[in-house]
Amino acid sequence: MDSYVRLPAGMVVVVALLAMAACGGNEGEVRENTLDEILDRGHLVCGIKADTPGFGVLNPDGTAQGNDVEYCHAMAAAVFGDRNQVEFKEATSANRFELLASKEIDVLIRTTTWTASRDTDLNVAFAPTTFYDGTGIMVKASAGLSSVKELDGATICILDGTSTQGAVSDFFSEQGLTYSELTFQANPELRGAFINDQCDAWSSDKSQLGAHQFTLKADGTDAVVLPETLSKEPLGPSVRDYDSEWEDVVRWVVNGMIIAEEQGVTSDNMGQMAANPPNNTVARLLGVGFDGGPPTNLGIGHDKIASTFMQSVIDQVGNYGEVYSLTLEQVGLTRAGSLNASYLDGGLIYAPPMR
Amino acid sequence: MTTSAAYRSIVSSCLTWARTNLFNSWRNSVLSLATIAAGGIAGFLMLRFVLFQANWGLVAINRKLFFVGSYPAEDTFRIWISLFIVVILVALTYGVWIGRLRPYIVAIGVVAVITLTLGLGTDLHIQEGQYTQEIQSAGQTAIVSGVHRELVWERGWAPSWLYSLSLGLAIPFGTSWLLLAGLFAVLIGGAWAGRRLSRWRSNPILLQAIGAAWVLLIPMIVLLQLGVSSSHWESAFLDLLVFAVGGFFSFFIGLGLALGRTSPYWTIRFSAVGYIEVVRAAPLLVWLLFATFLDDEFGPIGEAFSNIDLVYRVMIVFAFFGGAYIAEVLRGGLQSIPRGQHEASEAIGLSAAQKYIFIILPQAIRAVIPALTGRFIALWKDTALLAAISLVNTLEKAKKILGGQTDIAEGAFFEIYIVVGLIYWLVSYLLSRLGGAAETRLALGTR
Amino acid sequence: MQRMKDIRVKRRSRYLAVNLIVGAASGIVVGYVGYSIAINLFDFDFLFGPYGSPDRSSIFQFLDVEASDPRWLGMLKGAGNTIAVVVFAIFLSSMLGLAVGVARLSSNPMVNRLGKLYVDLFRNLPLLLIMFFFAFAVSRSLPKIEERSGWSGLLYISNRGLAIPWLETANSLWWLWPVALLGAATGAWLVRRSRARREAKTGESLRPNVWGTAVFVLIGAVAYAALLFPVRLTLPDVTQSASGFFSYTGGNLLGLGYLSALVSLTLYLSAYIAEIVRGSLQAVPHGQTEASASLGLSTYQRFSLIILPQALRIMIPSLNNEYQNANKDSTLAHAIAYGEIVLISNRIINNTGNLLQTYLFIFFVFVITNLIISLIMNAINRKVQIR
Repeated sequence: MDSYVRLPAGMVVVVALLAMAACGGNEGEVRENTLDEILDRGHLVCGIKADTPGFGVLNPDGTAQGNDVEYCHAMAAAVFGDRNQVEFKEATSANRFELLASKEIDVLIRTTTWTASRDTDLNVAFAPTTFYDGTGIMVKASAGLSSVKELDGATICILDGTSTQGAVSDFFSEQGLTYSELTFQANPELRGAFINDQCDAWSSDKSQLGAHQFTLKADGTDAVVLPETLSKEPLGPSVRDYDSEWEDVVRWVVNGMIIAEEQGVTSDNMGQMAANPPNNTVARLLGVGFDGGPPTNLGIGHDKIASTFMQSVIDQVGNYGEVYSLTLEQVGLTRAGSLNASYLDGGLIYAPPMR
Repeated sequence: MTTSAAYRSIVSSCLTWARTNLFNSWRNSVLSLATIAAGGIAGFLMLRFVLFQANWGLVAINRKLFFVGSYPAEDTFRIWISLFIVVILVALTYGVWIGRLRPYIVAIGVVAVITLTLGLGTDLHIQEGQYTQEIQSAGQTAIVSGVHRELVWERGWAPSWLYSLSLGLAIPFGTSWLLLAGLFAVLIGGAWAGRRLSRWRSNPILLQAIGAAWVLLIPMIVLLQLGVSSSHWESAFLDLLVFAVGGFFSFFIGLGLALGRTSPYWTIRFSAVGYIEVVRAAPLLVWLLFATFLDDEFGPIGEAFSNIDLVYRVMIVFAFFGGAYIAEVLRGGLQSIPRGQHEASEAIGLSAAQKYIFIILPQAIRAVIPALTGRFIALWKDTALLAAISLVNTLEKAKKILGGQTDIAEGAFFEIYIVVGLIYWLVSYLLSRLGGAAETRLALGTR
Repeated sequence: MQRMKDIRVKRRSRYLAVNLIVGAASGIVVGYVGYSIAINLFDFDFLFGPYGSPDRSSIFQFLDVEASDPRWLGMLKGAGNTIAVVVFAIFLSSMLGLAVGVARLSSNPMVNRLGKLYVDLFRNLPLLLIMFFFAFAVSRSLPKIEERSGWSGLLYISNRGLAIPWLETANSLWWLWPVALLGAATGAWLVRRSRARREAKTGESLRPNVWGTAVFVLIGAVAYAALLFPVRLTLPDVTQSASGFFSYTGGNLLGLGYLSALVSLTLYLSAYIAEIVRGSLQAVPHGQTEASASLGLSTYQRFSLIILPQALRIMIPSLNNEYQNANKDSTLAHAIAYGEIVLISNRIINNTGNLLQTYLFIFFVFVITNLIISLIMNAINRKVQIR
């Protein structure tokens, strides 16, 4: 009866479809500008780990502390001159890259390992490494083990979606050992399972195991981290691809904190150093003139942030070593002699020059 | 003498009741004994846990977190005002519409209000508690989060609920006790006033006024929350807010879709059916994850959507997802209206809009109240899913408390999940009872 | 007359205009979405990359995702894991729901109230909460593996899961046995039908059910022997390795993720099914009960032969709906680390960023599985309707 209506309407649909297909095809690679978005918004959104003492603990009331968290504060201090202009969002191991790619967070500082596949496959660019780590395995002290090779037939608790899973899988198959895996979405459940003997061992990055070992001891469970290191895990902040202005800020805040430590600039002597820089390196770092000369401006963030941004960072947060001793040393991760000592002391912490 | 006779008669009538109902055949006796034994054991275990084993202090000190999360203390008045608005609306509607105060509904309402407001009075306490704590161990110091060490006691200490109750009462509530009392006064007074009003004035006008009040005031509640950053909308408050906004809009979206499905224009019918079927095909979780992680896959429109604050995006998903299901419920109602009703209203010269508003929809909605209640309960329970997309709702907050306060919360899974369960259960049970009451009140068709 | 024609023309043109506008609008929406999907869908390379890390939470070994599996295989296995939990949950909750639904109608007030308590409890709690409760609270109060709790040699329960007896393949031709069983079932069905027909025609007792069963057992047993015992039962056992670790050997260990998902889904769904069963049983006219009682049928016969078949007709459409809901609700199990489709897909999106393709796959998995549920339920519906 109404077929005389259906035909024209159907044609309209087809034409609309074709029109959509024809005129929508001019999309190129859109360049991001997260720095502008952050400045517009008035605060930074930082994706952190919520449940690892020493690295990132997001409290039930929204405050946070830890090494990663201090770097978030440093970014906020660099952009706004105020370390508190930052909002923390929990990023789990299973959703962190999605959160970053979908712009739920501006920067991901969450003990994320820099790997080739992540760098190429994902919408992620990695800033300098803030912590050199490796996969390890922790067992209860009562098991009386001294090597990972004794773990044949054990059940291992691992966080879901981490590079740890791959490292353990590789290591055990290379050694010809068997194991079963018990995965969890978050550390609290995993920790409970470990205490409760639901698994025999806990695998994660060694630094985190150390931190957990420490709080486990405080709660009455003795655990030991076995000596073998199963893989290399360089951890650092990451941002989205094609977002170079913001990436530069993140990159040079981290580098600046490392340089500040090399040059002995601390939050205590920062004012004095800025007023009277001992050498050109410190002057350039703090964005001031050396010996009465004109102040240097490196143009990081295309002048959208103050050229003296490192002053705020060091004043309000501190240099690399200060942040480390404030957070990681507190959970028993000794820095001296580890990979994370300054290159001057035989470690790997080294930054390109700021000039 | 007489008292003992009365006592004896009560006992004997109880025995008679038991004999006729529980032990009237050998099969029934076995069933009764088995049920009594199972119930007794379960009840004993539960009571023993609740009274002597559970660490309720953990719940007591965290109750602000359970209910309003990190909502700023100075803005709590917004929640109080919203609560008053909701309670007045519910009470008035109940009084006008249903009339008789059913004791058990009142009791559930009172328990729900107490449960949901307990967290509000504790700002002072939570604010002064230090979240950064030091643990001394082996000569080293560790920073551990969110622990009020002064409130920690050994588990198993004789009835800890007594201790937590006294703790709860002793914490200075300030004006909160007064506000809570006011809330009850409004709850009971509103229902009573509504009942009086319904006698004094004809029902339809009152009902229209109350309907208008709902439509106007619920958005007000949401506007009231805009003074607080959405990152502070957490816990039970977030669940209730998403439910209120999502449920409110999903009803109208569902109504539009249901009318669309019964429209005489085939394109409208087709679009409505297509929308409903596509939305219902995938689980809510998938839609939520999709809304969370969507970036520019859908071009500029998708990107604009992905730039909206996550909480609002979730509310939009709830409204549109719930709408598709409510549309199906309402369609059933619309189809149950006899053709004669349409013809009769057209015959007396009503326009299409008048016909639907005054004749068809009231009957259609009345016919599907049980199913509609079921949909709203489902929508309320679905707010638990926010935990899966990194929004901090009640369930996620509970996980955070368990993870963040390991030195006192370690192993206290039962306590925490029982409290979270109670929050979800109370609201959905209250909804189902209210739906049931509305159904009995409106069972005009059977008259 | 002219006026009538005017009205008709006016109506017709309005009809045309509205259809055109709405048609164009929905065409634009569909076109926009379709186009966006299309430009994203041309990239399928990510499906062939390795999944990356193992996920062995399945109950079937062939559904465990290995690190070297291509991503498309991982997604299919994820879908398989969803089905593995949904099918058993539907079966168990139907049994439990029937029992609770019948209990709700019991004349015994104790049984009745217990049923009501059960329904009110589980219908008013979110499924995700029930899952968390079992995965994180209940599982932790279970005994440790070295305590060997359970029925020794048959079933073990611990905080690592439930170890149950399982079938194990003994040689490479084992797959021929299920094929033979299928043939046996067909043969049994044919024998049963022909004997039943003859019985109906001649009236002599030919025992079609006994014959059918005998044919099935016989063919199955002969095939089993002929294939040199291809499948055997293995029983679980708790063993201790050289370094002192306890583990289950033999049988199959149902992991905590699967177990919690199954138990929660079953409890939740059965409360809904109980209400459907109660409603349908109440809808059967009471005269049916009285009439069958007057025929001298026993309580059990009355229920199973007269009331239940009639109630089934009423409950099947609602059951269909609930089963489909349960299918979709099973996605929540990803939050307790059971490797179902959303967990696997989220991992792939996290590693590759291909949001749209992956979610479209999930979408179609649910469209297809719900269609299958629908088809099965409609087939059953046709079977139980009065012809």
